[in-house]
Amino acid sequence: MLRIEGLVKTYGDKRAVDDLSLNIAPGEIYGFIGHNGAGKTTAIKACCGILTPDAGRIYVNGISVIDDPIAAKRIMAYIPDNPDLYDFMSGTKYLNFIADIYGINKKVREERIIKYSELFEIRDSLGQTISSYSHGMKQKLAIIAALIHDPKLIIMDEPFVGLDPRAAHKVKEIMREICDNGGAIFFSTHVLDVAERLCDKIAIIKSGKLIASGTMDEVKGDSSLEEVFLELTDDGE
Amino acid sequence: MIWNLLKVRFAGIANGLVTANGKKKKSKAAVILYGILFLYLIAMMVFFVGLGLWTMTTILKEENRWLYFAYAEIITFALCIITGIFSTQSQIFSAKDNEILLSMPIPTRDILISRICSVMIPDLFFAFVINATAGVIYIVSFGMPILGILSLLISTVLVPMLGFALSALIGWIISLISERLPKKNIISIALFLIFFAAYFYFMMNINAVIREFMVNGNSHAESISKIFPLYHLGRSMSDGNMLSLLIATAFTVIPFLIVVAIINRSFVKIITHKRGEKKSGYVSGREKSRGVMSALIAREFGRLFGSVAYLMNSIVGLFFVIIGVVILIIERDSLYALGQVISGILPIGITAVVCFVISMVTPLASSISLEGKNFWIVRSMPISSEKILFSKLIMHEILVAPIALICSVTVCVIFRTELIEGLVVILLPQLFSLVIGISQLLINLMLPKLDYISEIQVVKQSAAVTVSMFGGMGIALLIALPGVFLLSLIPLYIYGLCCVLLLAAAVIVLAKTLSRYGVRRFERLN
Repeated sequence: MLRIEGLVKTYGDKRAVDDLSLNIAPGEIYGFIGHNGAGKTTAIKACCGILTPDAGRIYVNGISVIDDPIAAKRIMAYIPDNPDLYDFMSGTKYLNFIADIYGINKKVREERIIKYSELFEIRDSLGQTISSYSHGMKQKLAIIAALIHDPKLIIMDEPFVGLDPRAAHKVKEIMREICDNGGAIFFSTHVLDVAERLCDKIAIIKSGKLIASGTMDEVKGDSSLEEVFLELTDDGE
Repeated sequence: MIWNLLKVRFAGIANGLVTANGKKKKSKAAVILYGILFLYLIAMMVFFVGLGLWTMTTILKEENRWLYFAYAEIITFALCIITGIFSTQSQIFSAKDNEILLSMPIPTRDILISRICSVMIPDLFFAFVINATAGVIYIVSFGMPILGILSLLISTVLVPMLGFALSALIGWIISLISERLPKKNIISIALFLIFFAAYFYFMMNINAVIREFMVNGNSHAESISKIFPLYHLGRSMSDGNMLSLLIATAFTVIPFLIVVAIINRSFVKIITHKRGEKKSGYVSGREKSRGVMSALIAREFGRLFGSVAYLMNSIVGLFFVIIGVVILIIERDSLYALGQVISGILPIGITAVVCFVISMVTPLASSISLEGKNFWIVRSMPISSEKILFSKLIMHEILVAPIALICSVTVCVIFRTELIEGLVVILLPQLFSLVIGISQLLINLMLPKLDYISEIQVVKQSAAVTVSMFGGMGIALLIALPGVFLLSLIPLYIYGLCCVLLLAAAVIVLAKTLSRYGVRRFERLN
């Protein structure tokens, strides 16, 4: 579903992502963990076509994100860590804007808006401007906007930040449902126990370089993910 | 503590000057270019203000020389109001770090004073430039007493204080009214429009009055002297009269202190109070689907009308065109008669003025920057960058083209233009608008500011907006001036026709540049 080959992204003298290669197959929930400033967000943004890599290739369902970004973006969705949405729009207007871009017809978009807004309990607030929303409400709206066009691949950057426990639980259910239907999820997180319980596979990145990847069992063995992470990312101080 | 807060502010401003998008340092060439642009703006201000002041020195009698300084201070005051009315809201009440600072052991008064100081910095700068110009011209013309120079220095601070007091009060009142009403953005926009209509009516009349005084000032001085603060302010500088300085100081400092005291008492309440929006849910059955381009254009208009600062700073030129149309219709008979006397000049001449005014319509000069922290939305969606850029251009044309067309048709009807002249009158502003629109986009792509904290930084204070506005005016003058010199050689409408062809070619070249270079630049932004 998502294939990253030799991804390199440099900012000035700093290599934010250094020769990253990953393969996320359909049906997988793939976790992406690393310390602050490790290069997770940069890698994620490159996969979504927001950043142009300096080297490497990225394919979504065989479609190159670099050569044919529009076709690639049609089948994926991105949820950022900080849901900066259009404050001047209402929740409804924002969802309709997203649906217009993806060409979702009136009947289908209405069904999905009602379904997900009731699931996340923000239906009663969709008529208000986004500027009046709390962080958690904006995060929920961003998630609904990502789901509205039924993407095959969802890329999320720390999706659980700001979500109440009920909403976080629902997001996990939706993630599993998408993967059970042949889709895939690629997400970064700092919450290691969530990653441990949820993910089929995991990748650990340190200072832009991939230091471990594979199934949960392959990566952590008999230890906890936290122990493995701390050991692998220890600078030996 | 106040000094620490100011240091943080100044560091932020300095960082904004030397870094591009807050990330990497601007190149030396870019910093030098900004420096040259800055000096150019100061030179323009000095030139235009100095010209008016020098004219006054040639006609004012000795006993009325206070009018000279009164005029200078009116210009300063007007500039302070214009800059202050939006800055106060965004930099005092809506500053993003207000809550963090309030959570620290910092007296509220110190936070407020540091904010007021940073709002007043541009005002103090204007006051210094204008007063320095006024002082130099006066000294060269008449000499100036030492106490007069002292008064001049003191008034550099006094007038901005009064300007701040009035703009803060107006901004505060407008905020108070609009937040209690539904559709508060529309109310804010309406109130600002009313304020600016009144302001420009006042300023137009002030200019007519001042022009009258420049010619007949000596005979009007006695009646003007009844406007206490203006008279005493002027006298304190022209004569070095300390009593006048004290009176003028009282008239400026007291309102400033009153306004600061009012804001100080309600500062915490204003910045922490969130008047919640009325709950409004999703209503099914009202869905309308649009095409991609329509959705993008609607988004552009939503952003424009969703921000008072963006709207008012971007489209002020359109108001002038509308006012111009009204004046044309009212004065149609006298204009037609004048057109008969100086045939072949007025229709094209008025069209050139319309083009000049269109260059003041600058929504696209900050449109890329305003994508800011929302940039990820369009970049992660299946939309071509070309469509995003051209949707912005279409928004600009929807705003400008109809109003420019109405103005052009009005000119054609009033002056009963012939076919070719009429075509020039209609096509010139349309093509010029396209050239200006595409140029603004390209300039903003070259000079983006995606990491802004307040919209004011982008819509009022950014390099892209400044370059776009003055560059646009420069292009209008560059196109119009040769016509003046060639007047005796070729009919003006023939020159106008050449400009139409030139602009049409420019539109094609610029559109291609936007499609290629513009798209590449857009895709590299992050």
